[in-house]
Amino acid sequence: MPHRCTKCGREYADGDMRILQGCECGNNKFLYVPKEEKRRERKEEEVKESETSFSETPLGIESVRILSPGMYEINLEKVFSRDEIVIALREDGRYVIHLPSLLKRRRK
Amino acid sequence: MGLILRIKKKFGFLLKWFFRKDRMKIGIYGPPNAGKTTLANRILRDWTGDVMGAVSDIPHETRRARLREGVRIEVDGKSVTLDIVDTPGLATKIDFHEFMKYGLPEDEAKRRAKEATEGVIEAIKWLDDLDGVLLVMDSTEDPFTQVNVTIVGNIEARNLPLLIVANKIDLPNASPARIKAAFPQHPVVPISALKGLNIDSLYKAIAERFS
Repeated sequence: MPHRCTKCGREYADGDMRILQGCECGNNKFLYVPKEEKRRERKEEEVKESETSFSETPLGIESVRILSPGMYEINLEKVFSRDEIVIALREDGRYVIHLPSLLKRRRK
Repeated sequence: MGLILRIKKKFGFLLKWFFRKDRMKIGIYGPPNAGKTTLANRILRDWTGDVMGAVSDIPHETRRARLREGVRIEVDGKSVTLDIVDTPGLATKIDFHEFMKYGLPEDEAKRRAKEATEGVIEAIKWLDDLDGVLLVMDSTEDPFTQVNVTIVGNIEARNLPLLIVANKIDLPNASPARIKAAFPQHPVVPISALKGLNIDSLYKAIAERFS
């Protein structure tokens, strides 16, 4: 859909009669959007989404995953079943082990 | 050796009765905004005249576990003395953006998210010290959630007595029957902690289940 209305942003496919008749909003000016630009826009949207939404990768050994300050994922099963707390940072492969929780267990 | 085991099996109930606790430590668990603190406040107000803590529409208002000792409940001649632990709501995802929707500034929302995460861990660690659990669920919500299923499964694995409280029955779209259907193996008591609806049935069930 490479033809975008300059007023309301509605897009029409190549050869659509609306391009000749005018947009539903009454505007008759259209901007041609090359496919390459469209792909770039979509990619930017995806990146934005992945930054704000929670990670899709399943939780592994970690009890808590810190995605960014204020955004956390908690692996309830792991917290229930283990005494020690393992915290995973956003980047894969970086973990923090909470020593006090581990040592407390050892003392038992 | 076999004789000792046989005696233990036959008279085990006597040992249990002899060494039974005169107090039960009960934890109030559930997802955020299910009404855990509202229920704790209701119980304390009815039996001690006190309150447990502040309640709010913003999720994760309770971020530290609170303990209230020696709450004596008496129903139909049965009595039980409880130490009640009101715990932070259990969740799998905590996002500060959710708190900002309630008008909290970003810094405060992030701090709340951090404290709420610590609260979830603290709540779960409390389970080791408990003798029973009151699991509060919101009757207006779908009970088949990861949080509910995980809590029930883990309480079962620990052999802790469990009583499910189907809260918020005062709301028009409440369906405590859905909770009963989801967890048929456990007793479910429908109540409204806020309005006090059917609260006597809950006290009766507590006295029977935890005494």
